[in-house]
Amino acid sequence: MEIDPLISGVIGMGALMLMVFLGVRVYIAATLVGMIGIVSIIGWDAGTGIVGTIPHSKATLYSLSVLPMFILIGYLAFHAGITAAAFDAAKKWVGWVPGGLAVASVFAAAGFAAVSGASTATAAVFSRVAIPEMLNAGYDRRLAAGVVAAGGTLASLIPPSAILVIYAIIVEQSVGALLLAGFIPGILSAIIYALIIMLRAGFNPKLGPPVRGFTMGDRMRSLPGTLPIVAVIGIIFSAIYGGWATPTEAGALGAFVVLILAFLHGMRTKQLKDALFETAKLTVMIFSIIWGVLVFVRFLGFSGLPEAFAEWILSLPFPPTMIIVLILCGYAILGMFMDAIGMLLLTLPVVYPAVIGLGYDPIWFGIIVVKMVEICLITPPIGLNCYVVNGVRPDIPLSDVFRGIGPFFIADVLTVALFIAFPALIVWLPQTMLN
Amino acid sequence: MITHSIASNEPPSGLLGKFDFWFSKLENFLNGFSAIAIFAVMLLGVTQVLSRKLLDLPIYGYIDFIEQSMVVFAFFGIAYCQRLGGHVRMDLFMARFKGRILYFFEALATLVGLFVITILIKTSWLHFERAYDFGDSTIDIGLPIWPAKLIIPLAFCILWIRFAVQTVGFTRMFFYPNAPIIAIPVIEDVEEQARNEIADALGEEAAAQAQFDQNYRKKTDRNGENA
Repeated sequence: MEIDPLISGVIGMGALMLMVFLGVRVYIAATLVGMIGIVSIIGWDAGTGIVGTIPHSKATLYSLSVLPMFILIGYLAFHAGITAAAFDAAKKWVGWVPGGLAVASVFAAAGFAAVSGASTATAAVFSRVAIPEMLNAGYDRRLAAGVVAAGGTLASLIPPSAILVIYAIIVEQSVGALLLAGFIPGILSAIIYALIIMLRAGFNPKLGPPVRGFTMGDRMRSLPGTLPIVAVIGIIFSAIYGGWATPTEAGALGAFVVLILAFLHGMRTKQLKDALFETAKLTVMIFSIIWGVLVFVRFLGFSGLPEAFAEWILSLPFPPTMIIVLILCGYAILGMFMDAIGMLLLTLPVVYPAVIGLGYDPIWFGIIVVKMVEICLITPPIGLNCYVVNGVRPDIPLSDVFRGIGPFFIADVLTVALFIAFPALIVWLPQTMLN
Repeated sequence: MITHSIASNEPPSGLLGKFDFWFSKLENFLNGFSAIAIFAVMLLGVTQVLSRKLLDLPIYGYIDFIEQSMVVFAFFGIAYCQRLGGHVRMDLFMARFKGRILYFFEALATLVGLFVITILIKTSWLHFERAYDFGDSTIDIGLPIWPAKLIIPLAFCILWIRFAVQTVGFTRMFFYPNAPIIAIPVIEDVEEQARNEIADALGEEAAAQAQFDQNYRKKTDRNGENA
């Protein structure tokens, strides 16, 4: 019996979702459905033959070799003594504003999260570094907990960002352009968080009084501690902008710098080994899901489903902005239940062509989607970051952490709206720098 | 998110447990190779940049070397990651099941894995054979490609054994749901995930000390039941 390729594509998409819901690993489910789909369209020998080539051909692309470098930077960052130094410097520079310590937490967490790339782990570290100091200074505990849980979510936009690399690979866009594009939105997100805090603490000084009394000398002396953050972001940024190194080489250099700093800060060989083992585990996880999903993508290509879906989306009698908002709401819901990487890889092959068909910029969409994924880390029902804060600070009830998150969630929604209204905020930097 | 159940350094007494214990050593060893490859890519990258920029002497065949070494960290740790439950999946529905139903679906999911990997072993082996027969080589400096392609079916064989062990493990639990947990990963709830994140960031001690707000959990659990 001949099945229309388009129908087999729809069935395949449904089967994949069903298997993922039933707990089959995404890389296995995607490979199986992709394989059955390809075989159903072009026959057993040719179909399995193609599938057999994909793991090797897709996992050995040079552009993917940047991933383990970025991941390694993240695991080593915990040993480089960045957090306390970053918080100290931020406190001395911006502590004088209303809600100064909370604002300092935002910028320090943004800096550390950018380097470590680990949102939840950033929340854990700053629960220990920043919350005690805020509570001692009489800060509202909901604000203190909320800012720490939210601060971690700035991890994925500011380079280095592994998830932006994965997006770039899947949708076949320039890795460098995506990494550059995340910079302004990442910084802007942090600034909007800071503005929200200042506004609230300005109207109600009891929430978080300013911290004053630091001299310019104190401020300057606090700067060397932030060197690792500046170095890593600076190396990657300038390498891509200046073209003096590939992202992988820049990542390698960044990892090496953090490694040296971690050793200087007292890291032992055992910790290096653990960091490398964890890096290897996360790397193989990401590579497996990439080739697995690319088997599925090959099947989708044969089926013609992405084009058909894009045509259907374009034929809808709604304005593009409304469609994009609906798509983003879909991501927000999906993100409550699923890991960021899995979610992106499963949806992008079908959603991406439709979004591009609507006339949106590929780089712009990548940043927006990653921002949505990060928002999911602080929203119930799961909101892992909030649990982490509560775990480290059991004296702050979980309900308070979730309430503390509220204003930052609103800030995030406003930020996304801003990006939709002014796409240039995202695309200007890569377009200007990379022509 | 799930994690592997074995924590002790002593091999368990049963056959399945013993095999799992010793096989885990092999997986750890292979993942160690991945770790070394990643470290090597870092060193090679640094050397390449410095040598090219400062001495105007780029490493001969740098990209070929990196691409050939990528199969090591892309595949050597695949069974290790499977054992530890590191591969992405959605726990949402599975976490709601308990006992036999849970183990039934888990066994089914590992069987699917076993099936997929069986086919991939064969097809990736054919891919290797073609490269070997035709003498394929890299573009830049002509390194033979077949060793990298051979690694993939070999790594899949290790993964196949891991899936087989997990299938046996889950089937055993299906028949004896109250038996001690051996050779399978167990689902973690959000608290355990949070504890792991704390361990990663602040160390084991902080993770052990972490306490979670039970009132809130009970409240939401109850709400969940009512819903």
